[in-house]
Amino acid sequence: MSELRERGEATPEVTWFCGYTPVEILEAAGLDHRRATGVAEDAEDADAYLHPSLCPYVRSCLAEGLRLPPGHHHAVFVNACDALRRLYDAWSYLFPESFVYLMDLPRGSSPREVEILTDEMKRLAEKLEERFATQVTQEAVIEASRRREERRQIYLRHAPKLSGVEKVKTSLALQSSQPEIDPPKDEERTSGARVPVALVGNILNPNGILRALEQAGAQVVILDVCNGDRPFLASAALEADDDPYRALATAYLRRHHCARMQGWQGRTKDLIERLRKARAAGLIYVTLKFCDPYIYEFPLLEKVLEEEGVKTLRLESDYLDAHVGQVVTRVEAFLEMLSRGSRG
Amino acid sequence: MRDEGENGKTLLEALKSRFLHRLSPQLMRSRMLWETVEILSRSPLYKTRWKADRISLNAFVRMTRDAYLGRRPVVWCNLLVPSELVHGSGCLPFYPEMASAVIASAGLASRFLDRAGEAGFSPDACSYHRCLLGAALEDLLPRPHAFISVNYPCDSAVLSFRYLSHLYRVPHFALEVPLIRGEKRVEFVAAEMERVAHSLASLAGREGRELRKGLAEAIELSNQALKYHAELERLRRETDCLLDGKDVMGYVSVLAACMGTREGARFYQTLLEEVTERGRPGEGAKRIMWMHLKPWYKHSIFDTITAHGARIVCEEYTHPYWKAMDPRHPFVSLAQKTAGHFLVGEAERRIAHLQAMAVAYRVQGAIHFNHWGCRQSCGAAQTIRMRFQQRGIPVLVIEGDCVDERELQEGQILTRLEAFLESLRERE
Repeated sequence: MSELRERGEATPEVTWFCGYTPVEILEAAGLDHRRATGVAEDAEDADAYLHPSLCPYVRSCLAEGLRLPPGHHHAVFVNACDALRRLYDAWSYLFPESFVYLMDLPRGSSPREVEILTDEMKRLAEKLEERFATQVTQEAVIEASRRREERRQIYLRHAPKLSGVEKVKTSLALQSSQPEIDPPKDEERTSGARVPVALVGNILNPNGILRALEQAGAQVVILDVCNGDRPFLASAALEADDDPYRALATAYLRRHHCARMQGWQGRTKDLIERLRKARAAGLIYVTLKFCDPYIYEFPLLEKVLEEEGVKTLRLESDYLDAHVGQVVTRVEAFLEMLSRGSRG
Repeated sequence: MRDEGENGKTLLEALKSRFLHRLSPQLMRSRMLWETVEILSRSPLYKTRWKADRISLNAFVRMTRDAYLGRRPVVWCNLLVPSELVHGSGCLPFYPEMASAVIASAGLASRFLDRAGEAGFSPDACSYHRCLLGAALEDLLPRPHAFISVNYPCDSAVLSFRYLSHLYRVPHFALEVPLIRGEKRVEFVAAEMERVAHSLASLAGREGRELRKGLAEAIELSNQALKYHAELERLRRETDCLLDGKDVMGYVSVLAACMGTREGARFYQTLLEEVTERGRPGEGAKRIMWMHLKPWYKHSIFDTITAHGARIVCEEYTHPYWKAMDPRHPFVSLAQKTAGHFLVGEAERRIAHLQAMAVAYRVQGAIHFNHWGCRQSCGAAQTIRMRFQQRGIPVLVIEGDCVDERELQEGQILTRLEAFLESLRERE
């Protein structure tokens, strides 16, 4: 039991936004935490602080922050992209009384970069101890990593039976400190009569494009997005190291990466291997508007996939996905093309 | 690069009318083209506003010629890569973001932006980078031997250079400035820079001793330029000197690519001498700060500012923010310069820097140019506006695009600009 709970105090909740947030440290500090999903319908509320050409997820998260009651704005940000850094700036300006912290994230996994992330993680632990009058012990970090690995195993067990929409919901639930997983509904379970596809991108609104493309006949066998399979692809168990923070930093920098990180060749190779293994007939690349890492990755990835004979469809999401009907026709045509290909 | 002739025709326009119809990778690498460019750039027909402009023009013509003709290894850099590192290693720095500005000022950007679009780059990305990607895909830029990016001011360079490194099949050195403060940050960046410098030196065939000598020399020259530049800025702070920010913004390319060269030092020395000699235009103009960069193509924004009795007295990107460096410790010095940039890290650093500038330059109003697709800059514009207004400095935020002229709603902008300038007058 954490010190906070032992003292009988209400456990503060920390919001986080990027999959590279070391939630193990938040848990080791005895804090509740959750990944912000944002309020897509109210993203315009963020206009006064964030430019409309910034990532709609980030803007939706600020809109969510503006609706939270006072005292619920503790947040940990990762310096993963320009948009998240700007969200941190706006958040710290708006909620100065809260614990608002920005930690760095190197792009590579060289020993120096591991050292930087190790220091960053230790600094986060110190700041949490200071702010919440708690203690983050090494044992608690190891224990939190073990719990995370358990949750990963749960995801891996459930995922093959779930629809894409259910995968996102399960992924989000298992990334929070209080996971509650609903059993998948029958109508959302996968069926064999669909066209198997890989879905690659950043963050998906489970009620947006994803639902529409499944209704159009896609069976999402790979969901390589931040709130899908990606957080659970690599083991969360720590390697033996006399410094658990270094082991944690190493694990984060060697996990299956997003487009922001170095080593896209490795990421692409791995993706192609998984596509083959899952017998995906094609790949749908769904990204949020204004997300630079994915904007710049797509032309490279498309070329490599084309050379490998993998058909791709690119879709763009504004996170709200109110006009999702317009993309259904494109998805149906793509799935039809894939079906013809597999029949031929 | 400034090259406006008083006959109303610029060097770029002259080159455009002669060569545009047969622009090709072969033409860009032909000696004949570069001989013509050199003759034209020296021609008295193409007068420059300041004598120093001629120095920078010649420097850029020489560097660009050598890059196209492959006379030295070419290293593509983004804005925060210190050119001293590249010059000192015996290579030629090429700043493609600045090339996009030149392309835009020649009115050619739309062709390359469209080419980037055809290659799959979304129009939501920064047009500086889409333009350089389009030009690179047409093989119209000098072919690189390596890329260096710094992870600030924005993500775009790291990402577009990654793509280009694959296209050209040459290494990409991605320098990372960590958020952590103090010695450890400088130590980390210095070690990375040392590693990169050795790779560049081996491309240029320089040995260890030559590399150290080259870097020390580059840093000495950079320090000389800084001394004149700092004095020039003192004049601009303390007096109402003739140098207008709309022109100074063009010197961002000098500040990026010429630090560490004789021409860089001569440029600032000559500019300082001439500004001192020409004196003041008379007090009374409203003092404006310009944040982010300007649109590089033709527009009427600056004419409107001048017509309303206002003047840009300082600009964000062309401010010498760093201290003189130690040539005996080149990597630590260059690391301090890069890591100390005000665009590194949280917006708070940028805001503090801009507020200090506003006070020092006695600014009465500020304009933030929101370049479409620039997450780092636009992203903080509203916070900057609120923070400036808390200090009684009104800020006008203009939406536009520095490179793509199709994205500038000039009529709307001028209406808002005029209202803003009127309101400054009413505050008297």
